[in-house]
Amino acid sequence: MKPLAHSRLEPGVFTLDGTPIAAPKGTPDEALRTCYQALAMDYPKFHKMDPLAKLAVLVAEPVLRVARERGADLAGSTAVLALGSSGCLASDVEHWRVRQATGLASPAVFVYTLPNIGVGELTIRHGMHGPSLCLMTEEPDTAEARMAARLLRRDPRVRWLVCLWTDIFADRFEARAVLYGPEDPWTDPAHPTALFPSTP
Amino acid sequence: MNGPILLGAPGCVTPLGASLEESFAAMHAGHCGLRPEPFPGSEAPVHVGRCDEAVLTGGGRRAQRLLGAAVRQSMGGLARSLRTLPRTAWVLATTKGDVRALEEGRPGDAELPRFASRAGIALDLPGAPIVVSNACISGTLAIQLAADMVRYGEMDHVLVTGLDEATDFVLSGFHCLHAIASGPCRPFDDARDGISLGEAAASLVVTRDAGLFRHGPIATYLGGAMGNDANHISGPSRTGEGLVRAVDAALQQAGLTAAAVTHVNAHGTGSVYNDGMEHIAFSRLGLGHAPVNSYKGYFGHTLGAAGLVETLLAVHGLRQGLMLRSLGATCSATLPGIDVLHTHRPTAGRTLLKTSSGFGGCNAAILLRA
Repeated sequence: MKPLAHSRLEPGVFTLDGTPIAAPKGTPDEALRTCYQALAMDYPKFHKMDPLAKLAVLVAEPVLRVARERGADLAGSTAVLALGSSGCLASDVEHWRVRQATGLASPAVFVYTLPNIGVGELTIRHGMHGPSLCLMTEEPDTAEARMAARLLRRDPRVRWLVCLWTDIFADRFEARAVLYGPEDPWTDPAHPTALFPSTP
Repeated sequence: MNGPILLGAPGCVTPLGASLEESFAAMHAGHCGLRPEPFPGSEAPVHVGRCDEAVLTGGGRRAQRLLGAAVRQSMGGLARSLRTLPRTAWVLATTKGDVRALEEGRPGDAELPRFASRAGIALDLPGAPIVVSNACISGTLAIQLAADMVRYGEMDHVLVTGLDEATDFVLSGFHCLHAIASGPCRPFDDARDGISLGEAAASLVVTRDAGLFRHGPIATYLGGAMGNDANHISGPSRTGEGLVRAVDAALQQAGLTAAAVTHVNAHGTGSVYNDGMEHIAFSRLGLGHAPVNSYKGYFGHTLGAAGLVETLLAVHGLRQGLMLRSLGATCSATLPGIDVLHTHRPTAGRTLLKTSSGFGGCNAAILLRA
């Protein structure tokens, strides 16, 4: 089963269905800024986000543009499955660093110390009210993640499904996004065999 | 296997007790598990609900011992070991897991999948952990996820667990947001001024196999759903949109109308905006007839564990024909149209709506018959 669209974002690579969007280089912050500019997003809130939220919003942007082109109802009938291993660890470490250094804490940092906040930012940007599930997994394509995707598709409200893998900590970052449409009901437990395509 | 989706084998550890029965009895007696303690960076003490260290037996990290104390109760409530049963899953609901590891300078050990894997091995839990981390709806969402696994034949049995500790990490965060109450939190009270944090662990088993429970099931799962506000990452919707959508969809799955709900155990954090949002949502949903309470005045907001431990306590009450008062709520005059429980009250039915809302704008609702 092939997704309708898939994007990949990692050092040197930002593609939609294998076609380059940008070539992000440098630190994660520099690389993510390059991707933001390449997408011409004009979304000032982006600059206030933590690294995980930026990564989620960026990698999802191309596939959600495809979804809109295909007539998807992002507000009511699109679900999000968010997967990650490190989650919000970058913000966790920063929150604790500030706490130890100053005896206080930063509200702007603390609000990002939950793994699902990137999905929250995504739902705000695209006005998505449907279900979203945030699972912490060692790898992007586990049997548990595929089961969760099938279950989200069982929700009678859901016709479109976006699956995200976002992982960022220190100098490493990696993200994938896929869009599945309403054509395949996914009732067969053998499907999908993979959430994220192995090819670029 | 066909038949209703059942919940049973409850286990929990709260600031008010080492079991569901102990915790409920303390709440029934009007006890509050929130205690003032000095807090670095704050002139005033903060009220925190902490579990008794004496009940945290076994080895390993404190978070694991907390989880183990609840899980062992669930295992003791089963007629067969989950380890011997095929098609059995384990779900962990948590926001921060073992965040103390990060506080101690080992951030890698605080990664949730790593913590869950270690805890699962140490506690001999079935299968690879499925870690739900959707902020403060994690516990309620974990029950919904488990029930869906059983409903749609993905799994036959699911152990649902929830855990969060009250650490400096979270206390300092909510403190910097000016979100902490000046005293014990007062959900749904007109004078509410913030939240109190607590800690807890809880667990239960979801299955269609009633024979799995040594003491029988405690509730039937009727339906559940989730919805997003798409409004703000740390403030609730002013219209209650995500919660309304979640409850609407849960009612639809259950084949019920709002009129069938006989009790609402709400999120009720004690913050002005959260409780106000719930008031709007419950009014929009036509739930004015159903008595509403929150348990956070008894032992605080237990974050990722909250939905799970509060569900168990609400079900336990309904099975005794009782809805507990919303501790701290003495006057709810500014919340017209909803029936906040200011005293314990006998219940007229056993259909429970449990709701949770969290950062990121997420909301979850489940319907159970106790």
